[in-house]
Amino acid sequence: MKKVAVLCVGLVLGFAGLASADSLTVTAAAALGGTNYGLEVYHDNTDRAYVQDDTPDSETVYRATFLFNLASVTGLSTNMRQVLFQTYGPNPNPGVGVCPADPAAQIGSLRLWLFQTGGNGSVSNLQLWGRGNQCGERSTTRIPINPGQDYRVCMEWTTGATNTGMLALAVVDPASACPSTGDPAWRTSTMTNNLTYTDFVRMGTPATNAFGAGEIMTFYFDEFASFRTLNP
Amino acid sequence: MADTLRPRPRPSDRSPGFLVAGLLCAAAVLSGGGAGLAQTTTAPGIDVEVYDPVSGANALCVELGSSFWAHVWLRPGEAATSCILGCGPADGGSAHLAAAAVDVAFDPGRLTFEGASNNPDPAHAAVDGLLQTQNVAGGRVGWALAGDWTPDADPVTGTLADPCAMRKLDRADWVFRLQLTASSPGLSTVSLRRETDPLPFALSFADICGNPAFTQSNGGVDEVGNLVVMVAASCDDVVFFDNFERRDTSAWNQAVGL
Repeated sequence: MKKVAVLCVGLVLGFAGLASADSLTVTAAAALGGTNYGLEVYHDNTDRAYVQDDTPDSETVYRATFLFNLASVTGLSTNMRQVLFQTYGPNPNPGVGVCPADPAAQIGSLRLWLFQTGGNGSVSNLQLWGRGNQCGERSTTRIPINPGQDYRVCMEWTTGATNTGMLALAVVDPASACPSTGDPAWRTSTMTNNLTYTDFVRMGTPATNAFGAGEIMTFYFDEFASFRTLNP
Repeated sequence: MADTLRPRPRPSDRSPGFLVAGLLCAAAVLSGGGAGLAQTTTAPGIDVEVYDPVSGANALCVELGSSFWAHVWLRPGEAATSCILGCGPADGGSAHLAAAAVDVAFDPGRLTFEGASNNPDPAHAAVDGLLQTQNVAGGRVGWALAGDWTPDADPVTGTLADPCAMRKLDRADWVFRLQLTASSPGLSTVSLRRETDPLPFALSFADICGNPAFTQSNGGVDEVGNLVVMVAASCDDVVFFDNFERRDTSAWNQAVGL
């Protein structure tokens, strides 16, 4: 019922043209997994809204998990794509590929994307992308999710030379723990990425989508935890 | 809130007592209800929080199988008043608490209850807290304060002190604590139950003068804090965790879009 209420609010704001910029609130509506409160992110693609954790200390192995619910969706174009979670690390190759020219610039070394490229009513997917030494990107395959349903999102990332680095994504029942490394539930990809590591992370809407005018969405996040080992 | 901000209470001089206004206080405590107000960290109301006594923080990682204490901190408010009772003048207001109803919840699927105790410091004798452990299987431990009794904390056979002479809870300190064992990996919260919870609880305090109970909804209680607990095989492997049960984003280094 609470998710229906949020959807209605989103629709009303959207139709009335009253939507404000992307924003964060801690609400009871966003509580997932039996908690009382969670992080609610309102997204209309006009700004960024995120929480940031600076605790990572040049991590070369990083596992993160959180509960997620795509609470409401409206106004999508066929180019709907949104980063929900991003790790940041050193620029491995300034000016090469998608890496910025500024050697001091932090890059998004790992990005969790939400795609719904068929417009309203199409299937939503989560996909993990990693950036390697040559500033190209590797990705896992996409995992479909249903709006209004709770999920546990699990991500793994390790650095390594010559295709021994790894990124992996699993989406499981919210009451379940993340699968053990190597479990078939993980979608994985290898990469060469030993020139970067994890310095800080952002969760919410850490970037806007150049093609996302008119989209209005509400995301719920809860129970975030991160580790410097793959099987905590 | 750091431990250094939690001063010890001054020594108390206990008075011989006789039965007076305990029931009135209890009735006032139970009258709290309604919508909650936003918490602040600077307002003069009563503060109550669950914290880790080792670090003073509201977040704690515990390794599987290990036990820990969760302390409940109580800071009276700043409103100091007085009133004339049948026995004479008495201190009142949120700065002089005589009654309280507090309930702490934890996840019995992740944490196993080992025990609970009042602050044993003789200097804290004004607090005759009554621990309620009959609901631990459901993940709840209560604490009720109902005046100052002789013998301590014994309203069954004891005698309530003269309300004019008895010590009130007038200094900040931890008032009771729970010992828990980490029994299953994952995140959970040792939380203070509130009026605004899905299953509401009338978290409230009262003085001896018969003022309305101090609650979140009337601003008498303006800061309530929970303890977020991560259970892990090795805490060295844990980078960061938060479940937003502190009801804000304060655990994070930055929040953009608030």
